[in-house]
Amino acid sequence: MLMKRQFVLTLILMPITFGIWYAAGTLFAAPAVWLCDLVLSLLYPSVVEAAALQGADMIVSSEFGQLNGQIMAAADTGNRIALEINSRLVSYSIAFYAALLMASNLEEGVFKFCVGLFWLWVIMAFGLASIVGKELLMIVGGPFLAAPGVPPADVIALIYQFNVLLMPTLAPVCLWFWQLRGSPLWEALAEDIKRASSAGPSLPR
Amino acid sequence: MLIAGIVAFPARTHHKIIAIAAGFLFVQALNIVRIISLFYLGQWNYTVFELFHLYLWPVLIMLDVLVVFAIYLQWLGKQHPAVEVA
Repeated sequence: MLMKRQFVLTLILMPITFGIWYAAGTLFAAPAVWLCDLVLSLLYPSVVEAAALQGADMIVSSEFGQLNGQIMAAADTGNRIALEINSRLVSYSIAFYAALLMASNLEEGVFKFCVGLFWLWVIMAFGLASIVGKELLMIVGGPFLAAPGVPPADVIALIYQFNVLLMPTLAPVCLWFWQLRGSPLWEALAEDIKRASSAGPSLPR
Repeated sequence: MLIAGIVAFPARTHHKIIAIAAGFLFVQALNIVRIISLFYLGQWNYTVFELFHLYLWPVLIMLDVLVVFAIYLQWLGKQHPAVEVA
C-alpha cells in the first residue's frame, strides 16, 4: 500500500519538480559545471582549457584548434575548438530525486534533499566530463586520444554509457533508497524483502 | 538493470525466469507506448518531443522497472505465505 502511494505520488509530483528544474536549469547545473571545470583542468590540462556555464549549457574551451581543415594543438592554430554541452542531459536527475523524496514525506526532508543534491552534483560533474570526452572523441579524434592520460575510445564510450545514460536515473533511486532507512516505507519494504528472501533457495547450514 | 536485480536477489531459479519474462514484457510494453508517444509529440512540437525523449521517458522507464521489482518482491513473498517474518 505504501509502495503504491509512493509511486502514485512520485508521478503526481514529477510535473512540479520537472517544471521547477526546467525553469531554474542554470542554478541546478552551476555547481556541477564548476566541479567539472575543476576536475578537467586538473586532470587533463592538455585537453581542456576551461569550462563555463552559459544558460543551461556548459561551454568547454578545448586545447585543440583547426587549421586548413586539420585538427591540431591550439597553440599551433591560433584558434580553439569550443563545445556546447547541454547540462540538462544529466541534471534532470535532480528533478527525479526531488519527486521521489517528496513523495516519501521523510523526516528532515530538506536536510536529506541537500545531502542528496550534493552527491548528485558530484555524479553530474562526472556525467558532464563524460560528455566532454565523447564529444572530443567524435570531433577531434586522433589528437585527443594521443593526449596524455586519455583512455582508449572503447573506455570513453563505456564511461559515457554509464555516467550519462545510466546514472541520471539510477543515482536518484540509490540515494532515495539510502535515505529511506527508518521510515515506514522502509519498514514495509524490509518486510517484503524478508518474506521474499524466505521464498528463495535454502542456503547450506 | 531489472534483470540484474532479479538475478542478484535470492530466489528459486524458476521464479527468476518467470520474473525476467514478465518484467521484459512489462518494460517492452511501456517502451512501445514511449515510441508511439514520441512519434506524435515529434510531429506536434520538437521542444516538447525533446523534453519527453531526453528527460521524462528515461525517468518513467526507471519508475516502471522499480514498480516491476516491487511487484516481484510481493509476489515472491506470497509464494511462501506460511513463513513467519521475524
